[in-house]
Amino acid sequence: MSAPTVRAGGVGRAVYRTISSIPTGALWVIVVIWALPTLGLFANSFRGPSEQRTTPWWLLLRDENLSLDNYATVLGTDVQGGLVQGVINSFAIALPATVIPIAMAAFAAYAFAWMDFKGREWIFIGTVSLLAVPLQTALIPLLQLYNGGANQTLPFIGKTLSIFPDLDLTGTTTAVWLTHAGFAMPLAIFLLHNFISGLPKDIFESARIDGADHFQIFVRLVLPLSIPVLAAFAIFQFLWTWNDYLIALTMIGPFAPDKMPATVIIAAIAGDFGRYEHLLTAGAFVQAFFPIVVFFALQKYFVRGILAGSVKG
Amino acid sequence: MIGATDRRWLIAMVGVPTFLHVLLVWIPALATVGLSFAEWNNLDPLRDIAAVGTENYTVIFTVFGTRLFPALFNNLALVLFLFLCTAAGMLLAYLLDKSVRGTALYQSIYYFPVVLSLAVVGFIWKSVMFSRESGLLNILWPGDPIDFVGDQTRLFELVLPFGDVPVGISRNFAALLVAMAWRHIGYVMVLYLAGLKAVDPSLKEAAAVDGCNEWQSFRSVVFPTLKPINVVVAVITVIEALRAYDIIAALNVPRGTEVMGTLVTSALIGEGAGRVGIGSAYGTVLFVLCIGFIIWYVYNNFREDER
Repeated sequence: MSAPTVRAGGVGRAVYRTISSIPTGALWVIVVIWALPTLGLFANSFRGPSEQRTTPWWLLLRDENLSLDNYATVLGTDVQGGLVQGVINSFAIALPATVIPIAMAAFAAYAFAWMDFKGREWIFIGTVSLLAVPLQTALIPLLQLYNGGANQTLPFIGKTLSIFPDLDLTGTTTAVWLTHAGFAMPLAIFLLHNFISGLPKDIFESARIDGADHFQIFVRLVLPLSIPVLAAFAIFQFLWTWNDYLIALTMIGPFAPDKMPATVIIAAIAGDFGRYEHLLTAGAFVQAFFPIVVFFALQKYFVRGILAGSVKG
Repeated sequence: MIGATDRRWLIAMVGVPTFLHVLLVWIPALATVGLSFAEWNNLDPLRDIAAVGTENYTVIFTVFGTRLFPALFNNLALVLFLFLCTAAGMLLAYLLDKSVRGTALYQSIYYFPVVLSLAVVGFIWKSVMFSRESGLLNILWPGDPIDFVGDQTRLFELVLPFGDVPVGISRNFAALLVAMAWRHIGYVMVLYLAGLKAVDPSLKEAAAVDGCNEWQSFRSVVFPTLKPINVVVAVITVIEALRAYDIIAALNVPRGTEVMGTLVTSALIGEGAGRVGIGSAYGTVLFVLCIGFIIWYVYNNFREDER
């Protein structure tokens, strides 16, 4: 092999050298360290409250009464209504909160990338600029909106205009997924636009010559090509909404305990003056089960989708 | 050259998401900015909203400065720290992809924290790793048990040139960063491991034939191919750092770990709720911070495109 012609230098190289000098064995040590908290949680999920609190989890084989009681309790209805209802509620939130923004964002992203219309840049910038804005910044007005709708009394005429009807959404799963959908839109449009705008121009031109309108192009060409990137975003969005605590807590928590998703129930179990804290171990595994299934089911799309934008480079 | 059919679809497909977004994000966010100049208890009717000018801002920057500045500092530290985790995760992913067998096993180990909610991550670390009596870290530690979750003494302290409030990273916030790193590095590794599988091996071979050493081939071949992931990861890192709330709320530590997310929330809901004006002022500060990041990002992107 000939001598390198380009001198790569600097900090990056030093860091890289240090890290690549780590032998494979050390990498396995890192993997083991990574597994420790999960292992500990798993071990504790079979132990009673006093064992969990007083003796280390890796001594579980010394315990005499290992059992599935924790699982039985969280799946039953005695503590905070039980996780079964919570998991059902989580699905009622996470499914629409994943599917609806993606479906909407896909066409919007196509339109922003390939359709010429007035105000395109401004609407796009207006949408994407709120990419990182967290829910807290809009919390009180949103609660007001769901509780009473949005009405504007017009000055001088004295007529009240209903911008958003009072649908009485407080304490419903609809309020939660609607909020997720709104807040997911910027990221979804941004990521999908990155991909769709990188598709080769020729395919659209030949389709136009063949007389296809934009909607046909979108359905027949863009959607099939975008499936990997849609799946990749679906994984993110599903994880985010499934694991969300804040939105569900503020919009459902105080109003409708029977509509609470799994995260809020788990936090409530932990809250209750630590009385049921030992149940969290089993609860965490129950709550994590479905995201894991989703993850592994969509993984093959994910690998392709995540690099999909690289066509553009 | 947009026909009538296209126009109808355009109105539906851009109009509906834009309407939703304006209604659910823009209007409420701007309403928050408006409310930050007012005083109101949200249990009272809307007509009780009273304008107070910039009083709320005066209050949060002076009287509540002891809360605001440390929270802002924690948020910024979180952004920097998560970016460090991102770099570590990327290099670890590269090395794992190259050298370790048993892919399915190590992937499952890294995936698990990723699918957990941050509230649960907080609990796991609190009980399994940090606990005084039964936590792994305290058992391994030779000295007196450490109160990882409660100890709010600062590791270091900086005195700001304004506000007269020292800021720094408290010990319990550092412990929290470790727990967050566990999940975030996993997150980043999942993304990059997926990406690395898709890097065309013939590109790397070509680079080797051309005389690139490994660092050069990583920098000039692998890293550019991963560009789409870099964008996704950067965006997600910033979002997670600025949104941080769940893990702190779950650990329920009163002092030392505040971030903007918890300040806003605690002024609006829960104990001490009903101070909409103050909460909105905090929210507006957070809003400006978030917008700032995006503007910075978009600006850099434009500059790059122009080159």
